[in-house]
Amino acid sequence: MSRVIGRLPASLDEKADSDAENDADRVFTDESDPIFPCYNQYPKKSIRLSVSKNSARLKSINLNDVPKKGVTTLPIRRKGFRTLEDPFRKYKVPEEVIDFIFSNLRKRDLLAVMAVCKSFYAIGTKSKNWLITDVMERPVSELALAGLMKRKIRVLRLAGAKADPMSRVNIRLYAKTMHSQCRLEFLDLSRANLTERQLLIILKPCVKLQCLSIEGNILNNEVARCISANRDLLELDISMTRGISAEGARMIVQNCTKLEQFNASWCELDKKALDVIVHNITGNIRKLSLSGSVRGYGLNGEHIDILSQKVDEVVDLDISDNGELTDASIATLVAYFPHLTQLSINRCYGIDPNMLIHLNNKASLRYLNVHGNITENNMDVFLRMCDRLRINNQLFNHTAKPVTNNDYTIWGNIMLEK
Amino acid sequence: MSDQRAAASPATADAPAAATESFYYVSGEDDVRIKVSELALGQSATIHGMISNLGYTDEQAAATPIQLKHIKGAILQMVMDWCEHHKGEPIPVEDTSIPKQVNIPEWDQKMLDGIDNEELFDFIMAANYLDVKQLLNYCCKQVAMMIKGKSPEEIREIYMIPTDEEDAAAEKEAQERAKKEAAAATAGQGPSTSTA
Repeated sequence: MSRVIGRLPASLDEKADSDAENDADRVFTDESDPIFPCYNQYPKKSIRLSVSKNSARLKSINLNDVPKKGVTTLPIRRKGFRTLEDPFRKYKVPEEVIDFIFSNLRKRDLLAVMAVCKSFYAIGTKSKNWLITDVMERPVSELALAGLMKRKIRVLRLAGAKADPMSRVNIRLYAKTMHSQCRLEFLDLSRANLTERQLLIILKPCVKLQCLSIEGNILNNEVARCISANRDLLELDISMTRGISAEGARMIVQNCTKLEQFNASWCELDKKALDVIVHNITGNIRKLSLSGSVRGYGLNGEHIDILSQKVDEVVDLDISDNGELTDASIATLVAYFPHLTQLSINRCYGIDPNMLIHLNNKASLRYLNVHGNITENNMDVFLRMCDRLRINNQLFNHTAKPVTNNDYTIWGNIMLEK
Repeated sequence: MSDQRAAASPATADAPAAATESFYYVSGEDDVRIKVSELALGQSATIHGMISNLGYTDEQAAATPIQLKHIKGAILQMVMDWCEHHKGEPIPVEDTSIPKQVNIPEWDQKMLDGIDNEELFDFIMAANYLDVKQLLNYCCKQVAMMIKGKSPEEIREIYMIPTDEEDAAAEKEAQERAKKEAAAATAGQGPSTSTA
């Protein structure tokens, strides 16, 4: 008549069936005699089961031995166990104070403390320490990247990071990263050789990028789409990337209308891509580099003419290593581009060296780089004739490059850990 | 040790009394009054706020102590000592753009070295409640120093933090126990009504 709450497996019931009715009352009312072993610390409550309390089979079961799935069993609590207690929990230290404590730690220690328990991980992830993170030249795995993206990160340098191609995150984490947004503003991925998946893990959540360098990486349409999502992009360096298509170039150039520095040198631009860039580049451009085109369809006089109409604010122009440029382009350069201060036409063998002297007449021009254009013998003459200009001042072009002289800053942000 | 300090602070307090400094009394959990100068109390933003709100005159200040019920007496004494030692110092401003550089001066270092973990956390909670920014800086720096350079295992050992699995298992056990007790309690009422 009294209903039972708990039931043991059927096999046990069978055995004790004969006794069940008779002993039922005794089972329920008898509190002093425990039916099966339990901790002595806790008060005995009557435990309801439909088996005889004398069942030997029952007594042989020790519930303490039930292994929990996948979790190591806890040690039996000793009496004095409770005296030592976690001070963080005992005093209920508020999260802001814990965050304050962690703010004194450097990243390596912060990572160690985040591995201690889930609550520390949650607090550490939000730490302001992650605003500027430098993972230069280190090996990174997909999991690490996904984790980094979730933190409040603002400046990230992964230059030269060696990607671990084998490790892959599980599909759910990947999808979650794809749909999240991060606050990254400065991202340096130069020479990082990341796999496409890793690139997407980093780039997809970025919508607030101001400066980006993916020098040396893959630049397919997916990546280009991710880049084009950053409308506030000011400096973009896609030099030496592989796989750019006209569609990708169009997406980038049409959407990033605030672009001020654009470096698209040596990225195997085919004719279509080059046309797209030249026709659609924004007028805000200050520094432009389109050097290193593929032989056969590189930058030519027509492009220069179009550029002269579009980008008249440009200050620094690098069109080196474009064999198709002719003297006519020199004339255009002198006549247009009123703000042009620095010009690089290294190794443009299509231009007659004698024509270069006319550049001396350009009022705004200050710096001229003509490596490879003038022979050793003629260099003195050239220097004397171009008395207003500084010749061959720079060896490399710094358009949109994160690092200029100082290795410790990228785009003005100090990467050194305090 | 606290007696000596209690004796010392009135002595130091008496000297500036000649220079017309006002005092307040603060008392903690154990209702022992501690005499503190107003300038020292300026270090604690909470008390500073309380004083300006209450607007005590000198006689009232002597009569009614500021009660801080949940801070232990010994800890409060030490906090007040710290305030006396650092009275008049400017309160640090939180500036996130400047990277954090906290250097613990010698006197504070000696004081912090002399207390154990429990007291340190008491200190932190008291400093948090009383909003003594510089003291909180030093205490947190001390805790961070202890964490620095340790592996997660070692940190867990020092602070007796259970791993997440242990924690989850312990919680699960507690829940199961609670459920059993609840079930037994409601069941216990069942048969008593039916049999009666």
